[in-house]
Amino acid sequence: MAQLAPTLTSPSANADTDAPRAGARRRPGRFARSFRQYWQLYLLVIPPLAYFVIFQYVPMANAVIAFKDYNVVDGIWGSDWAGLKHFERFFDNPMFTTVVKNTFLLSLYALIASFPIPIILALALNEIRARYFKKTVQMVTYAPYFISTVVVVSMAMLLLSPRVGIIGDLTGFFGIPASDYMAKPDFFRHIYVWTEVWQTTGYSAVIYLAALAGVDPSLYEAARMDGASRLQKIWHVDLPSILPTIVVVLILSVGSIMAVGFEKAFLLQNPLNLSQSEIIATYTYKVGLQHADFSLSTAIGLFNSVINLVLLVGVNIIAKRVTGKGLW
Amino acid sequence: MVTATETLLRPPGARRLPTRVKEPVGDRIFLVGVYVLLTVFLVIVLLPLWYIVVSSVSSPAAVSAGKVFLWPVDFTWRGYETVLTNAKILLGFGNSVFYTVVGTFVSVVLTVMLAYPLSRANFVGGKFLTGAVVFTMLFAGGLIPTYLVVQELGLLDTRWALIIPKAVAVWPAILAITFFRTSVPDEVYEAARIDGASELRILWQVVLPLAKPMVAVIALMYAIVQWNSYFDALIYLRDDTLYPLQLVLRNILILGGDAGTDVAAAIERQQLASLLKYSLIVVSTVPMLLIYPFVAKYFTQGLVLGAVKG
Amino acid sequence: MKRTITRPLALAASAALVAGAAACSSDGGGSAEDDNVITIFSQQGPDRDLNGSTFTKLIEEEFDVDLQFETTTWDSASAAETRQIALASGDLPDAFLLIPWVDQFSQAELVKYGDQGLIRPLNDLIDSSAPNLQEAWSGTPEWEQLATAPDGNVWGLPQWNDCFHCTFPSKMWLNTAWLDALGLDAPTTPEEFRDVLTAFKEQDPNGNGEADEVPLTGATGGNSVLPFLMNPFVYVPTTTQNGAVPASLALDGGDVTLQPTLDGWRDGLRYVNSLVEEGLIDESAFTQNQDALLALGDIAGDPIVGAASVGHPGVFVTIGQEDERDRGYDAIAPLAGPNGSPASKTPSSVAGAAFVITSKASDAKAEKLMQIVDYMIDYDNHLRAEFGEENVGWAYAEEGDTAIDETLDPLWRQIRVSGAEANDNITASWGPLAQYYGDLVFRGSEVRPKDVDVYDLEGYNVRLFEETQDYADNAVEEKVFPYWNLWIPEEESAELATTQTNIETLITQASAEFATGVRDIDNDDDWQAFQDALVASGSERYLEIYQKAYDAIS
Repeated sequence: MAQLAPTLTSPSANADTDAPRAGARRRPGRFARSFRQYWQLYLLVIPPLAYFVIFQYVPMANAVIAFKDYNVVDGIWGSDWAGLKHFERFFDNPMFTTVVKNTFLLSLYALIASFPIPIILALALNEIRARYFKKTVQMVTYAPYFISTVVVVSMAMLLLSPRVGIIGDLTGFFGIPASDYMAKPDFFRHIYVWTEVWQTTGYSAVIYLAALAGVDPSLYEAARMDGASRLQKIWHVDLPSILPTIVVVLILSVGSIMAVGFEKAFLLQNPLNLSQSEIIATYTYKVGLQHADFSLSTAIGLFNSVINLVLLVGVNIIAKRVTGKGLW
Repeated sequence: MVTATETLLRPPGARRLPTRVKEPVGDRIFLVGVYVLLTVFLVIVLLPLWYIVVSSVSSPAAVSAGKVFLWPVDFTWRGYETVLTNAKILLGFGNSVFYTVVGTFVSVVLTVMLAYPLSRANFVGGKFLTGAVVFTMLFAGGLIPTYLVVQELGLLDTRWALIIPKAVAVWPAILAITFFRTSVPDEVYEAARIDGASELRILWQVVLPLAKPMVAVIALMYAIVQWNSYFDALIYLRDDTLYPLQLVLRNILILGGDAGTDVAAAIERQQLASLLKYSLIVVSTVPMLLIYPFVAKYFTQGLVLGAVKG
Repeated sequence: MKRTITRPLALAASAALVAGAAACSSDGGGSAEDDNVITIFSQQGPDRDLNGSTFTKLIEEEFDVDLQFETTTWDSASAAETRQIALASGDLPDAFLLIPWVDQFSQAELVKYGDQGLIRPLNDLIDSSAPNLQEAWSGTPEWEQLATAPDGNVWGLPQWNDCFHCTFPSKMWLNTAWLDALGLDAPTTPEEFRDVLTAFKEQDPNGNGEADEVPLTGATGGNSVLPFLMNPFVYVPTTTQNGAVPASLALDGGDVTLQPTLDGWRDGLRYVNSLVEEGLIDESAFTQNQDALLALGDIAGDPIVGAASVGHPGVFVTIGQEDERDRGYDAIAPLAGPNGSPASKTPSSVAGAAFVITSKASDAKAEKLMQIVDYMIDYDNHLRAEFGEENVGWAYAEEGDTAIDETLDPLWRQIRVSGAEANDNITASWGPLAQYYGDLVFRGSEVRPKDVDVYDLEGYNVRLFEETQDYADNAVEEKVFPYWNLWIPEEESAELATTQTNIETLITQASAEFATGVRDIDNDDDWQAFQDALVASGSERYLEIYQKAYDAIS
């Protein structure tokens, strides 16, 4: 990305020279210096950190039940150790590969589809001046976020029903006979992903809109004076300015990739699309109906988390190499 | 006496460019394209929403038969009547307003208190703490361990159980850190330091005004989480006078699920539930839509301030 | 119960943040025990108020107790979570009083918690304090069998609801209006059924000049077309999408059999596939959900649904429509084929327990609790408990009334209440929480509405009762695998859960694929691949576990 002029670099954060490096041996001195200067900030950060310790880290310690045979009466610390037994049970399950693969692919597809569109929407909204139109578009596109999954799915199914739905009418208009889309395994993913996109685009765009609002207008003026077209301005000013935000959203999204919720997939499941619609969450639900097992479900949760962690760190490294920006 | 900081923010003699340079043709076409794109977006998103609104005032038989598309069929207010005259709804609404306002305030304050220090380059331990925060997004204790903590702190069956356990979320926190870093140029910090301002004053007088769009966004995010939440209430609350709106609404919808001995009665109730389904969505979504314009105006605030700065 | 490490850490870290909150909050966790207060964990519907109910007051007076209900909602998933939390957190109520179709204790849980000492067995209490229950059990021994674990303990009491029409969930509702219009007789064999469906498809029975008729349709889960269509070839117990019950197991003498391994299963699927190939079964029948099915039945314009295999017609067509299309559907008797004409039969009472007393309850309280539940078993009290005030929500039968089951004496009728009165009446009762003994006699002695058309919504229960008769006549009790009476030992429970889920979902998927032609039923390799997949998923172990459990009770 060529820059038009040196002054157009956005005021980036990493111009500091004193960036602390982890494990630096001069830490005591460095920390003391930092503390002297920022002592108010250290105090400021205590309440939120307390929150994290109490409500996130302490419960996490209890996640040790993944390695135990949890027994309510003995409690978490009194129950017998089971080692990796629960993990083995999960890995040995014939359905293991299928559900993990389905979860991952579904989430990946959703990520790829839903990532660029809010950016485009935000950039487009940023271009226009007509206030009422702009506000209307923002408000309307962000409304679907509040519609419950059950309603979204039932609307989608009604829409796609060969006889009753309008999709059937539409394709019939073009001479293509309406077919039962729900029956095709591939369509499970398409329906899942594009309804996700419909629901989340407007809401996600809000983040980018806020980021765009923080762009220094002198950059715009300089671009205009340099004779840049709108497209060039977007490419050379808008995008680089919101790049840190884009990177952060991407990394956080990848870090949630295995955390696919149960409800939507379950509602869209039917006997003919099971090969794609059986994901970890729906499978654990079914097994849990017969035999609720905290240890097993915690073990599965840990498994998902580890994959998320690996991917998150991986994408962070790649992002830093490619764009110089990352989560940390 | 003009401080260094103020010099940076308000250079003397600055004014906006009086006239706009005439737009080249290529740009005009591009602009038209943008409008077309946005209109297409608008229509695609709007149609199903319109369907919901129209269905909420149509008879459930018509909706179920697929007769409803763009206009209501067999217009009826019954759905809204049932929903809005239910005493529990008003109570739930009041509760939700409380949770949303107080919860958002607590969350935004805590998030800013966390994000600002972590965004400062020379803050030793910042990277480690950021990592520790992200870690909690990946690994979580789970429902029962968290419940045990809430229980031992004596928060069960109180309003605070709906506010404190979810006070800080990872996404808004990380976004806040990122925004703080990118929206405050180093020169500002330098200038402030020259003026001898303390860190807290910098935060309050300089950084926060610059970060208004971001604060607006995370406030919105937290408000939405609070407004939509029902599961926490289900688990932590036993007293149903503390129930938030979403839980009350969900409960009403379950009316149709009574699989009791009397099938005929169950059918009637199921039809009522169908009717209520859409009115409930409208009732629960409208408040969130109404607050959006108030939040959205902060997305242009920065531009104004920035223009003065330039 | 040992505490976790949360306490010391939490106390150390709470400081400023939580101090204010904790000061404002009420005292949580273990509180002072009020000697006469009995805490009951229950599920409360949206318009009910258990703590304020007049029936609760009645009970409190009758037994001199103070009942305190801790409630959750009727949403199944959340109700299950809250119950698990109540159990896991150590915050036990004295008892659980639950609704089976929302959430209740499964047999596996009863065994587990019983062994752990979290719940107490009811045996002694039943002997000492439950005369009504003892009488009910002598009249309905199946209930006692359902409630008793192999080791003799009664860990909890399940509800006994003998919903006659519910026990035959796969009834074929045929458009008899169309039959009449085309001058056809009701089919009795699979081939005759094919002919009728073909006639529906080709001869325009709805008379609108378009070939828009859907001869046969269905939906997923319990609304599948497979049981009814395949029963002439092989006994199909029922269908389920989630593997929660062993839907594909049946009995042959004393042996447990996995039906899809039998040749009859293949023949049955072949028959279904042939109907699909000829366009006689709606392609959506295997994928649509109940809402979509209803949309088909209610479709605007002329009715297009010829038949559907569901429990009651309200599933696929709204009752009481203007064009009266819902009146044109009747259930036909099971078809007769090489396997005879069996009807799929399932239990309507849910195994497990809806009433459980925990270890927290003192002996005195446990006795009271047992007495309260026992009280509701008596028919008269049951009426008050479930339906509300006498002469408001229900009334006794009068001179000249007849019962739904005409062989019985009429006892009661339900009064349809609406408006504000309905709200009051609902809070006056415990509703589904009180349905402990709704046996065939109780339910059958409901008054048959006089001069009512069974095709109206008012007469719906009568309609269902009558239409189920053919199916009851064709029930093959000896083939039905009584999985609800089986208690799986704890060590095998986890293994069974995954094996059963894998196998039952495999069967659901494969059956749908063979039926729709995605897999070729005539291709021996495809069929063998299916059989191999069953074995690979653990079918042998599946049968082993269930055979062992069955042998233990027979």
